[in-house]
Amino acid sequence: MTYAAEISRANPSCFVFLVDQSASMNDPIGGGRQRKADVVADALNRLLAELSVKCAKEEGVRDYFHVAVIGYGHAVGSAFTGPLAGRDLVPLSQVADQPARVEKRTKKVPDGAGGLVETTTRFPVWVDPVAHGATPMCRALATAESLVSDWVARHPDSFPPIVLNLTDGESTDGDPAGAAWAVQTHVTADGAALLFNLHVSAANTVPVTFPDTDVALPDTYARTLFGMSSLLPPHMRFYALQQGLQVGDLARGFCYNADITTLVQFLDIGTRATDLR
Amino acid sequence: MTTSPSSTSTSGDEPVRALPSGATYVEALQDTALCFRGTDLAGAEVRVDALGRPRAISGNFAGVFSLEVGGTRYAIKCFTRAAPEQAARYRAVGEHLAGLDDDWTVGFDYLDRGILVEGVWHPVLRMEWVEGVNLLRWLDRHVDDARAVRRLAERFAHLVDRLAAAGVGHGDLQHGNLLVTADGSLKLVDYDGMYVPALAGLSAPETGHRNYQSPDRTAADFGPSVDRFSSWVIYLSLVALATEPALWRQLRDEDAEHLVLAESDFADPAGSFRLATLTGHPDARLRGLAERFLDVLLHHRAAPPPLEPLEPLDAVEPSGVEPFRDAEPAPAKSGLPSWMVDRLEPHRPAPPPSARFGDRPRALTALTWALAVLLPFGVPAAVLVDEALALADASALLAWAAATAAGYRRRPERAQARAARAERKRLVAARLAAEAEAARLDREAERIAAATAAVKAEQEQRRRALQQRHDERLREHQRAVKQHLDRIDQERQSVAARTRLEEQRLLVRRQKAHLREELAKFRLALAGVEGVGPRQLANLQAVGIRTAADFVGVRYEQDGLDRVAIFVLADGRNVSAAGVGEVSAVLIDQWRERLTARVEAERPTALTQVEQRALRLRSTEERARLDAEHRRVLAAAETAIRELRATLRAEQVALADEMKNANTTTAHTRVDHDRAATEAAVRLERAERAAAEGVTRADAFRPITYRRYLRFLLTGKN
Ligand SMILES: Nc1ncnc2c1ncn2[C@@H]1O[C@H](COP(=O)(O)OP(=O)(O)OP(=O)(O)O)[C@@H](O)[C@H]1O
Repeated sequence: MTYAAEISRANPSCFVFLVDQSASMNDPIGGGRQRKADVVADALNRLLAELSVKCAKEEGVRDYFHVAVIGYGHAVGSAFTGPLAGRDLVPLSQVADQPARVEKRTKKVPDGAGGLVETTTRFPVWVDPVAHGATPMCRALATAESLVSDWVARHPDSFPPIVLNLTDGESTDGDPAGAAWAVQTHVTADGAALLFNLHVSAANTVPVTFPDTDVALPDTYARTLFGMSSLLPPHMRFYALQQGLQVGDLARGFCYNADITTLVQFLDIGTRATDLR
Repeated sequence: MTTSPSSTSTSGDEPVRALPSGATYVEALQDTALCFRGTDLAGAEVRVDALGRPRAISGNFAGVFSLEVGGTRYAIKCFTRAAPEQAARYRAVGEHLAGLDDDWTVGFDYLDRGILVEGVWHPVLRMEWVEGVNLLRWLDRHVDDARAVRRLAERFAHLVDRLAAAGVGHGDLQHGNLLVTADGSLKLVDYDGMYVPALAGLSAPETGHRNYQSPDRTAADFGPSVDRFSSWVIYLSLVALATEPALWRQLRDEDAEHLVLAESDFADPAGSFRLATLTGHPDARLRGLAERFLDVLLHHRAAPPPLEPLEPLDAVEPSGVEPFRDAEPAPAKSGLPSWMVDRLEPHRPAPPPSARFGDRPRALTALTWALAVLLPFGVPAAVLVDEALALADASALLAWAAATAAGYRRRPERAQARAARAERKRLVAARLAAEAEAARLDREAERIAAATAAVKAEQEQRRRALQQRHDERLREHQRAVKQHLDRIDQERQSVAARTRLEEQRLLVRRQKAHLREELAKFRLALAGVEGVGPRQLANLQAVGIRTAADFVGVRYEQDGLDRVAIFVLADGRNVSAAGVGEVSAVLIDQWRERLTARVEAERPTALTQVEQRALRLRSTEERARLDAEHRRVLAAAETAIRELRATLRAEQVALADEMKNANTTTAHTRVDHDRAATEAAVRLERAERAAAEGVTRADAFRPITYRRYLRFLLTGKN
């Protein structure tokens, strides 16, 4: 059975986030006013916060994962800002403890009685939005590949590494499919590395979450990214269904202009639900 | 706080709903006035982390937060994964627990309208806050305190007893759900999967932690006996650790999320190093318990018997690292108490006192003495007195030797010494074998590393070759396309040139026609050329020359002495006209040339509209044809490139699959090897310790020899 390895401190897994920081990320996302770069940075900060909470135990955040955030635009390299700047794989406990800053964000939320109230939350920030230069996606994937290859060499028994690419899709250094598949040739005894993609697009079309075919996808970039994405492992599919998402047997780890932070909720740490065995 | 549920609703099957994520709860809990608006918890103070955000303790199904309101601390469980009939289950559990008087219970309320998150109310479980640490962390701190661990094992056995008596099955007994409080008592948390009699007939919503459950556990296992397997696992682990704390570090990785045993041991008992270590342990009680568990695992995995705790464990004097006393010491292995010391604090006990011979057999002593006194006389007697006497003396000596040797053999000290020496030999041999195995695995590690590197290099090479082949094909294709396009370009140019030429040709033709037409209007008869009279005119007319258009030039031929003028007609024929001499001919030709010059000055410089249109039409058609071909070539090129890329992708996928398979094999090899190496290291460590113990024990029997025995017979001294 694959994708069933226990994720523990003794046998951690790793996450590599790739974030598109090219000039085209300055454009607004489809149907919205937010820049794609802002959407992606926000998604990334949420993912990191979600992952930290997911792995928090009595004594603090446990190193169930080591995490890298690689930006690609005018350069390819660590996208962390603040104390972690320049680092690639960082144990999750250090990530959790060392955001660049904690922003106080004010927003209006429903008060449960039909009205809106203003509330302030603390929002940790590890990655700032950047939009500058070309889109060297192949190089970014190659960087991810080397991190992943190194990881599986050191942790041959771990839950396979997960690479999550956040992009608007338009690779400028060649067809990214080959580089994407190369990432997925690196395996642990528990399965091949997983590559998931979040496509943020300026096109104003219906968001798509974990589709199992590319027919509804609006352009070749989306179709290429879909084709590059790994199948969702069965337990992730199960949790997605539990969250009310429509996912088929061949659902892929691909989202189009949709929320991908739910992915963290699909990770299994500890007691298992019954339908999984 | 009560254990009675305050929830009201719930009708069997709730629809699937998306629950907030852990981080979403963390966000909501930053404003407890809002998220608990209108409830007792409004404005509660939440325990926060270093970033000042609510501090979660996360499980796979929920996040638990610690908060205080009105001087009371609560644990608030916020659910992140939907569970069927949750409210009804919690109500039943609450009602059942309310009737118990057990100290493991934690009071709770299931609140349907528990927390407001992004405008939607979600349920929470409000519990008493338990001030304690989970079993793993407790062991990390206390594992070297064998007495405390032993006490905990007993408390755990008692807890299992109480659960059974109450007809309750927790469903997920594991380290995270067993909290140890400061006074050492055990509290059970996480009642998501709890069975109480009122829930009979339902199935379990979860199947428990992988490192605590039988491989056969399914959702259908939901009843009062659901915890049996995990009870065995936990109890056996605690007893093992109380017996030999070093097992904590030997049998598990630091930070591993299991006790002494884990999932892989249950799945493959025969291949389990950990089980083998426990069932082969020198301590008989531990060994017995482990063997019983192995029996459960092999034969009663699906329906384990209730836990069978050992007799009171604290029948042992509290001597710190001293293990349980062996009830019935096993003959070969019983004598190794100093095993059970933590390897981090090598506590070498003083070597056992040297063994001694006990009481002296009187008869043998007398005989020995007699011989010792008489023997010196024997030898001279043989020489001086009598051979017979000497013979008798020698026989007596032999008999004595036989008697003492037999006596020595019968000594209990000798049997013990022999056993100790045999054991030493065995243990030293085992240590050597363990060393050899560890060394072999080291060599194998190098081999695997080299093979892995080779595979990697080969894969790299193949990937590059694939890309190169593709680039080559692409270049070739692009070259062909370029050649084709170049040809089309050339043709385009030649079409333009041809059109220009045609235009030229047509223009010349038109100009010629114009010239002829105009010249035809000038009749020679009216030109009044000097010397050309009616006769000449008639003769010229007879050869076809009537107007300036009828001839194009004149040349002259010598005919004897005369030069004859020969007119070149418009159709190329050469004619001469009688009576038209050279002089007249020159004048006629000059007339024609003058006229020609005049007419040419007014000749047309462009084609007629009709001609132009026809010409344009033809060239446009040709250009269109070429343009179409150009487009066709480009489109074909695009398709071809797409196909090439598709081929590349297909080849890449195929290669990726192949590489994946090869790498999977490598990964399995490495995992198997790493496990073997870890086990070999532990085995070696244990073998070294055992061998050292064996040597010490055998050394204690150093005085037990035949020679010393003789001395002992003589002197009574050891
Ligand atoms: N009442 C309590 N007091 C103190 N700590 C608690 C309490 N309830 C739960 N916890 C802590 O929170 C952790 C997670 O809670 P719980 O086990 O209920 O969540 P879960 O999602 O069901 O987890 P699991 O994956 O272990 O099933 C527990 O391991 C424990 O450390």
